[in-house]
Amino acid sequence: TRIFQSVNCVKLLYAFLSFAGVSCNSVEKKIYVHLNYTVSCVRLLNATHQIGCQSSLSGNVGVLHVLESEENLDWVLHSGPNPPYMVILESPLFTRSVMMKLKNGSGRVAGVAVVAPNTNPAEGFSPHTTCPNENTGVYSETYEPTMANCNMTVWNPLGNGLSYEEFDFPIFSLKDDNDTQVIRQCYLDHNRAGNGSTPQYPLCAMQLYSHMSAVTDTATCMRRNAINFSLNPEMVCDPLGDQNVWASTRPLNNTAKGHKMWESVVIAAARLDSRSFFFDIAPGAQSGVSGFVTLLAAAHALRNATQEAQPNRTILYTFFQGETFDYIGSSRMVYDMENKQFVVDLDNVHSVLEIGQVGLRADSKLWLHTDPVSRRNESVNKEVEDLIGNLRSAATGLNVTVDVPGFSQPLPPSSFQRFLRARPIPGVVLEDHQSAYTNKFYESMYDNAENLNVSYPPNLTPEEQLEYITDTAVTEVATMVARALYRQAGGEESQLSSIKADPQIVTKMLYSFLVRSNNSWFQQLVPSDFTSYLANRPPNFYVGVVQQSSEPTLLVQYLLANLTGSTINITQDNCKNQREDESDKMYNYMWVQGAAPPNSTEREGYCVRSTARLSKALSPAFDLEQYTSKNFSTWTESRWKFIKGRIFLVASHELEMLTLGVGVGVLLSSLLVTYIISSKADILFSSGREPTNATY
Amino acid sequence: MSHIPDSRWRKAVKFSVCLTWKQQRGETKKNAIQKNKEEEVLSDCQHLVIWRRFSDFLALEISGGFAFLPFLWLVNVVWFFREAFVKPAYTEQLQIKTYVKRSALGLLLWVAVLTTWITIFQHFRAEWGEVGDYLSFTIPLGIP
Amino acid sequence: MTASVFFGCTFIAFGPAIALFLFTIAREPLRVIFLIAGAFFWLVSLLLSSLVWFISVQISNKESAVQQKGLLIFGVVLSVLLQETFRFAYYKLLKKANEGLLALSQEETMPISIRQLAYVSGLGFGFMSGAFSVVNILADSVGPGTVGIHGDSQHYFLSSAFMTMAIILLHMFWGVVFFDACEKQRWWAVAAVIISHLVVSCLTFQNPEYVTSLVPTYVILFLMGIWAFYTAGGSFRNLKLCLTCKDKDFLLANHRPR
Repeated sequence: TRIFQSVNCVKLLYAFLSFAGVSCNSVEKKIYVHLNYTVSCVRLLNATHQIGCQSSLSGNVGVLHVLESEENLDWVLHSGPNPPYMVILESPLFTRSVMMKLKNGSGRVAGVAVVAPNTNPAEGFSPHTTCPNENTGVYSETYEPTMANCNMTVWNPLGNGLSYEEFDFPIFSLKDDNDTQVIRQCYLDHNRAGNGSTPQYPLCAMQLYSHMSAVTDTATCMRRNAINFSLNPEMVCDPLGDQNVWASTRPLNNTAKGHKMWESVVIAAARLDSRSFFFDIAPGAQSGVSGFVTLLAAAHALRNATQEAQPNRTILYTFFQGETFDYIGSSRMVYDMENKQFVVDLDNVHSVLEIGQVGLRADSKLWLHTDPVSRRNESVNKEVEDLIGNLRSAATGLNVTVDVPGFSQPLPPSSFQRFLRARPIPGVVLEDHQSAYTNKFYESMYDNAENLNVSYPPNLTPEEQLEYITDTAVTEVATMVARALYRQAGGEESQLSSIKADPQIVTKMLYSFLVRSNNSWFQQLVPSDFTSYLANRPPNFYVGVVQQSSEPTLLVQYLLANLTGSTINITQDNCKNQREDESDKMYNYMWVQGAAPPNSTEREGYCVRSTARLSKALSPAFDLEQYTSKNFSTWTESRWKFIKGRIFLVASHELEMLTLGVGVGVLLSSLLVTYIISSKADILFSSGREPTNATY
Repeated sequence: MSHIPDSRWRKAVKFSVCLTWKQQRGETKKNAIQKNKEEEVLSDCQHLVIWRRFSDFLALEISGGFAFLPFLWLVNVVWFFREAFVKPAYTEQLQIKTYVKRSALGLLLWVAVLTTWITIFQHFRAEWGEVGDYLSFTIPLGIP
Repeated sequence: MTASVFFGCTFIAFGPAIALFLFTIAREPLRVIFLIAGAFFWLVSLLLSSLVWFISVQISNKESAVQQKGLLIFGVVLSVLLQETFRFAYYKLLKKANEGLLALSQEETMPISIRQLAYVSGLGFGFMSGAFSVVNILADSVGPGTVGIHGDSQHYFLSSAFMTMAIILLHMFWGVVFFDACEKQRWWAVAAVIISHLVVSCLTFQNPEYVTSLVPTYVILFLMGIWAFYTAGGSFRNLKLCLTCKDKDFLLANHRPR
């Protein structure tokens, strides 16, 4: 191919490439500018619907139009002379009303690119629904009709439901940077009409590719996955899913599934995932990170206490994946518990404490949400009261006040609801809101470090930022949760004062999950083969498809192992092969790469023994092949070939037709002339001695 | 030449002789006697050529027609149309004519049936859902 | 809709060549063979020049714009010289082949005259160089975009197509003149061909200014055309005869059996 390239080069010499080329630059480069940062909205499917966006197979092409105001939509939808248009939206215009007008734009809209701002909008934005996971929680018509469909409380009043709409054009997100500036400039140079006049060709246009393979619903796409008698069998969609992370304060024999005699566990749960309108950006700071960082910090605070003075109940830390999409992780764990596929079963579960969104406390208040329906049962109510009592007493002496919302208020969307669906288990969900979310950016791309008020003084290096203590509020909550869990597990009250979450660890975690995962701390805590996944940006908390574990899952597992486990002195081989002595089945061993000593570049790895493990977080609907299930999540993600975009100029129709006309003219006239010449060649070329010559 | 009916085998041999003779014809110089003889041979050869075409036709019919191959019928109609309808009449032409007509009829029937089915299938494939998918050989990506 | 640009440019670039091929070459197998052989010879010259180019780019300083520009000019000149060398090599080969053909043939005259060979091989050169100069431009002309986002002229495709047409025709004329010059050992004519080829190639360095490269190229094309016309045995008298439709008497007078 090198030779071929060089042939190309000489070819280009003859291709009259103007620039007297410094290097081999191709015609393609003269025409197209490719977008570097392409984040798209993709198609997801469930039992009944498809949501998201898609382009045509060969990409959607449209003339650029930068939308300045909602009134300006008229140009795109009616008056503009060069449809279809590729609409560039500034984020304040990325609203439901604009998007729905564009969606019904009768084919005049080729696609939309949203310019993400560098600061969050003040008024809030949530593309999620107002009632998240409406149909797969516990509050169904049969459970309690008055509470179904968020009748009592609308949890996410800002939700505009855009994430659950279906668009038949691609929607991309653009960072507000050089790329976007190039697009804007191209628009200003070519497409901006003077007062009332129409813009002149050539016009600046954009092409967006995000063609999705799956269509209609999960049943259809799973069926098409299974059909493989065609010429080129091709998978079209994959179930959403990942792995749950769990660990216990007492080692549990993981090879023996089902009921454990004499075992009583307190489940401490948090959710791991989030989403936004665009599949590749899901910072989930408040909706996910605040909760699981609190739980991780609490687990760390409990390490010593549970090892020194073992309480009589086991605390089971669980981090559920895919909760955003109809409780994939928790429904799977409950299903596994019911079917003796998990290390404990539901009979072993004593109570549940779930940490929801706890990052934005107003007046440092935390709200203890409980389920009024199950509390109608006297014994359950007593257990719940006890748990609330433990939480209250744990909060004393801390800068946290806990309160209970009205007794008749149902639970907010939470993993605990899936446990309640199975049986009335006592439990509390810890939130920072009494009724509606305090989070103004629920499941949006703005639910980021800024939303959690995690900020750093200017001019700090990444390492200094990592060490900088930004926040103590989450630490307080973590301490409270740890103490409450310890009491709930039956631990001694005397131990409580020694249980304290470490603000250093908390802020390091917040930095790692909200600012950049590639930092010296995380590098020490992960196995060497995972380092390539650490990035200079926050992880993406979108659950993704089931085939691969997402980055946050593994990060949380490594963190949990390091924060709750202990370092043991065995060889790397034994560690990697899960061999110690007799306690093989009780623990999980992990070789992490550790830090380098001050005067060396070679890292000194070590073995971490912990109970941190992964369990399946794939909706049971896919194991049962019930693709129209109403009980379990049926979300699948369509496959696609590529997601990309480019901008370029388009020539006027007249110029194209002129080119074709000239071409046909040249062809016809040369046919005619050649025919005449060749038929009269005898006369034309007759002076020579030779009878015939060049042209016949 | 006399017109005693020849056996199939003799006809085939004669046909190949005709072919070689035809190839040579262009290259030799002719005189009047030769020309006369040539015409005689030519008429005989013509006959044989037609016979050969007819047996070709039958062979096509037997090998393909029974297999309901509309494409073969299309070939028949196109290939033998001149033979059946344009060329001056000869003995076997009537037979060829009927076969060509039948081929054309079959072809039309097939085209009608196929067009109807394809229209129905393309129109309702998405609606049929599961059945539609199982009937499809390749399922288009991204459309119902 | 840009398929129209693709077809338009293809017709412009290759229309005359296709017409010539259809009416004068396609029917005679020998001419087709010599056409393809000519195209092959051009290809070999391109291979050689690209090898040299490849090596020299590797050893050059890639940062220095002056050096790269110099390299480009060197590449063009070298490529032109190589092409003309191969044209000469092809001429020599054809002379030898013609003797062979003459020996084989039973008739006294050659099956193809050296003038016809000149024309056919020139067209072969033209076809190949035209294809190589315009194919990747044509490939990109199909796409939705047109040239110009970096401020280039949007007539790029059109002017490239016209340039290619000129190059193809020029190769044909050069072939005729060159072979004739070799035959008659008029070396100044060979030099004229090489120089005009060099000039045309270097004109493309003007290129964002398409007018300044296209107009002189077409002037040269016109002059070369006239020269080739006379070389091939044409004359003003013949042309006049032809145009005033006196050819019938002329034909009768000069009628020869084929």
